[in-house]
Amino acid sequence: MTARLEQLRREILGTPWDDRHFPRLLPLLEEAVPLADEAGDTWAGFWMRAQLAGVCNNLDLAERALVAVSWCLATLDRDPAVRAEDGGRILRTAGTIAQLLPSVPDLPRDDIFRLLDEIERLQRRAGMPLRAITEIRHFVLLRMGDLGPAGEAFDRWRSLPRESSWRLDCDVCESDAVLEWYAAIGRDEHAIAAAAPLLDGTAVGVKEKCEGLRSWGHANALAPLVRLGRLDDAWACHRRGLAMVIGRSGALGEIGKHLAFLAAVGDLNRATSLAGQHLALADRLTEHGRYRLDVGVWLVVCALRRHGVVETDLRIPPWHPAFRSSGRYHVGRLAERLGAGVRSLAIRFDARNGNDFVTRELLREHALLGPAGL
Amino acid sequence: MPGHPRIGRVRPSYPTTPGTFQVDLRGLVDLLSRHLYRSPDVYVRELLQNAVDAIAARRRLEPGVAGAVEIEVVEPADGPPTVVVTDNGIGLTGTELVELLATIGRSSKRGELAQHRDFIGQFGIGLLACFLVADEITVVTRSARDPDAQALCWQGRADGTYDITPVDSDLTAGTRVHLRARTGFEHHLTRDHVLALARRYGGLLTLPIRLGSVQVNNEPPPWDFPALTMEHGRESALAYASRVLDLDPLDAIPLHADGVRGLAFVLPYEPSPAARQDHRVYLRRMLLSESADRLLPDWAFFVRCVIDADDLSPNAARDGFIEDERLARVREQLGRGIRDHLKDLARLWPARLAGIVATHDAGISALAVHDDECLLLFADWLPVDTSLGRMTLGEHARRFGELRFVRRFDDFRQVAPIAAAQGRCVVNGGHVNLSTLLERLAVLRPERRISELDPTEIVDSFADLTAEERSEVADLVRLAETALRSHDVGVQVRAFAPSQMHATLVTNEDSRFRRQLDRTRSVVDGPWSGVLAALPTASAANSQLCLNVANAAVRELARQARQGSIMRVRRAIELLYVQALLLGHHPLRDRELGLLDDVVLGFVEDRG
Repeated sequence: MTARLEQLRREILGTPWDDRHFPRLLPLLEEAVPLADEAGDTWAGFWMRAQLAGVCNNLDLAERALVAVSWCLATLDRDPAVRAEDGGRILRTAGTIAQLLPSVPDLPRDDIFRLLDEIERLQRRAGMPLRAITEIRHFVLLRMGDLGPAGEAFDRWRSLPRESSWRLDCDVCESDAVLEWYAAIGRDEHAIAAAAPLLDGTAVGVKEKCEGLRSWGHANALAPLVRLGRLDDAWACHRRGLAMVIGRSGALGEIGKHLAFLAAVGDLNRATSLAGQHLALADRLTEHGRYRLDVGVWLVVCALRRHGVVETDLRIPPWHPAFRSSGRYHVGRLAERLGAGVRSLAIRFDARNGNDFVTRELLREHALLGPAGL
Repeated sequence: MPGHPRIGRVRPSYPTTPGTFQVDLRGLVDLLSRHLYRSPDVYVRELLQNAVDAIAARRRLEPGVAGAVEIEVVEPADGPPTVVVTDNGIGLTGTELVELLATIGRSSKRGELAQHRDFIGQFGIGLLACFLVADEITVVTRSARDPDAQALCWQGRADGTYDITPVDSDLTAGTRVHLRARTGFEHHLTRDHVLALARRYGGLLTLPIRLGSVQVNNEPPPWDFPALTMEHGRESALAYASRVLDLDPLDAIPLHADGVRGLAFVLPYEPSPAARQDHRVYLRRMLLSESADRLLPDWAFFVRCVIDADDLSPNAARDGFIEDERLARVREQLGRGIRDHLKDLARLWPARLAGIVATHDAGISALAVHDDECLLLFADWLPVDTSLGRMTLGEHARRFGELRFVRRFDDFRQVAPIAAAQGRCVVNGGHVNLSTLLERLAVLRPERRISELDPTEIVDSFADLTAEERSEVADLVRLAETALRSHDVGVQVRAFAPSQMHATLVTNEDSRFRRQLDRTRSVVDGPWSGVLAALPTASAANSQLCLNVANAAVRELARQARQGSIMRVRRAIELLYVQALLLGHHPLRDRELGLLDDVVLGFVEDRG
């Protein structure tokens, strides 16, 4: 191991594995990977990529996570020593990363499901319980708008035994998944009831990173609560949830949902300031990686237009397609610009998925702003 | 109920009336010695503390009484040593003896008396510490509350039994405690050892303490040194640290907080930020601990302090303070004191502050990542590597204003010689934590104009060639583009310093990722290959080989290209490309390895 690689390894090991530190770990790992390859250190290359895959997964950098984890799996296949050393951990990471597949519009639908089948095959071969990959399959199907098969996978997942040995019995993770499913199929009351232990804090994550899903639960509960007219509960949920994610570059999807909520309830000063603050953190994301955040920003601008605001100051960073150097934006034109961006991306997702689920979801969120139309 | 055992009425084999816990005193003492106290030597601290508190109590009854503590050590030739500690304090009545000495956990300093600030003890377990070194404790005492009180003798034993008997004694009022060393603990009661312990624990007490004819406490406390801003005061403080703490600190910092006074010493070596902070703490001038932790904010890991507290609550082991609001407030105040001092240093003695940061920069950087105040305090003094040499961030700000940094070592290696030749100062953000700190500083201090430098900007900054120069290199560019097209690399020709450099390969984050993607595609098969194939591939726009026409070899290549030496020029271009890849630590893809093979083979065949 070269001196620089060793220095990086130490710094990586000394950096806490949490949302706050993922942006710091990313450049360290990206520098370490080629150095490990150059040194011919297979295990270091594997280990660095496995960490990198996890970090990218947490930062919504789907493509980078896919590249890192696929290299690891190829090495696992070729190298029994690496397989023994890793002990199956990378297969779990691969499963988790598979959840990101629907968020990359370039990935063909058939390839996504072939890959899910492959991960399930590898996990089965390694003797791993199939509950987690079944839940992931349900999630992927849901995100791709295949609601019938998603429902079947949901039932199958729920019927499989919870596995404490693999720490797959997390109440926080499950509550969030159930909440999202019921909300997607229009059963908002069921969704909120299922999420209650997560929202009131009685459900406890079995792993630290599961606790990260608590913030997703709070973000996902906002729209159902607004639709149910439970605005006090929604505000409480927003305050608690936002406190968990504010300023975190690994939580921009959740921030997008909080922006949508603030747009729906008309707290537009706060929404505009939050939008600017978090757009600045999205510099590494691709357009599709930024989709949820951009939807939130778009809804805020739409709400501004509804409130009769003609111009607004918004801190849109220079790399963003909607950037203007003056920092001052005509609200109507900005709404059109952002709307065109998110709609065209939704159409790309739908074209890949073979349905109109993503566009319908977009319209459903927009409908929270009130009956005035687009 | 089937399946449940039947419950019958049988006489129990144990008492059914209420009782009291039985305490095995010896077992309790062993427990204390192993888990509560760090060393049996604490018995001296507990005896001194009881004596000081007894004198304080007597002064409430008789203001102005001159208190004194006498220690005597008897070392017979044929038996274990004995220690006798005598005070002229309040003394104890018979009832108090039973209540206080024979009841573990009861303290005279609770309740009403606990409000008085001049008591040090409060747990009622101090005397137990004496059982760490003695099997029997004899206490002779006469209460000052009653002028006719008889002297009483309390003899307690480690098996939990005790006697109280009236005795004749020369004590007018006060208490005398006799301890005879337990077998195996004789060393702890020898004269030299007791003198050292008395000095250690009681050396700063104001009451006179004597061991035989020796005055134990005759040293001024370090927090009473003259103002540390005066050189003399500072020298005294540094000398104290050297003598007492065995430390040659970089600086001494006066500390003041509510009911707390002391000094902080800047360590002359770099400790781990995760290491315990071993502070020396006194409670009303009695040494409590030499290894107290959590007294200062985490960021102040680079100092070790000596403090005296009036009001902080000691923990039961008496080696630190209870974590409560008062301690939190004091911690904040002490931290502020250290910060203010460092600010003063920045203003008045910048060289001294520079020395401190130079020693502690790694730890300070690690803390500043999480602590904005720490970052703002130290930022200007943090050393950084730049294309123009090492300097502090403050010096950089004064000399250059705007700060540009690259995030990775490899980028710095690529950019630094070119930037230096242009007189541009680029900071190497590849050092541990530095790019994170700079990004944070950019937010906290926007006027500093700190931003990341995309290495491609360096090429953009090169002067364009003239029309004539462009015409001279046109063939070279055409050949190079053809040679490198399959490698997704664009080609530019510019003139830049240093002229020894043939070329530089400029990449950005995206192109590096695309290289990884290409490399991974070559090792992956099955369903993953389908997924990776769908991801966008490398774009030449993100990777540019910039040939340096200021370099004589490149000019020669341009000449040969004009003359039509196509293969030779092409091979040289390929070589320059691979060389640039290796210099930048870019992973070589299969086709680049093949290219290297071809180039080497070509040269060998030419020579053959």
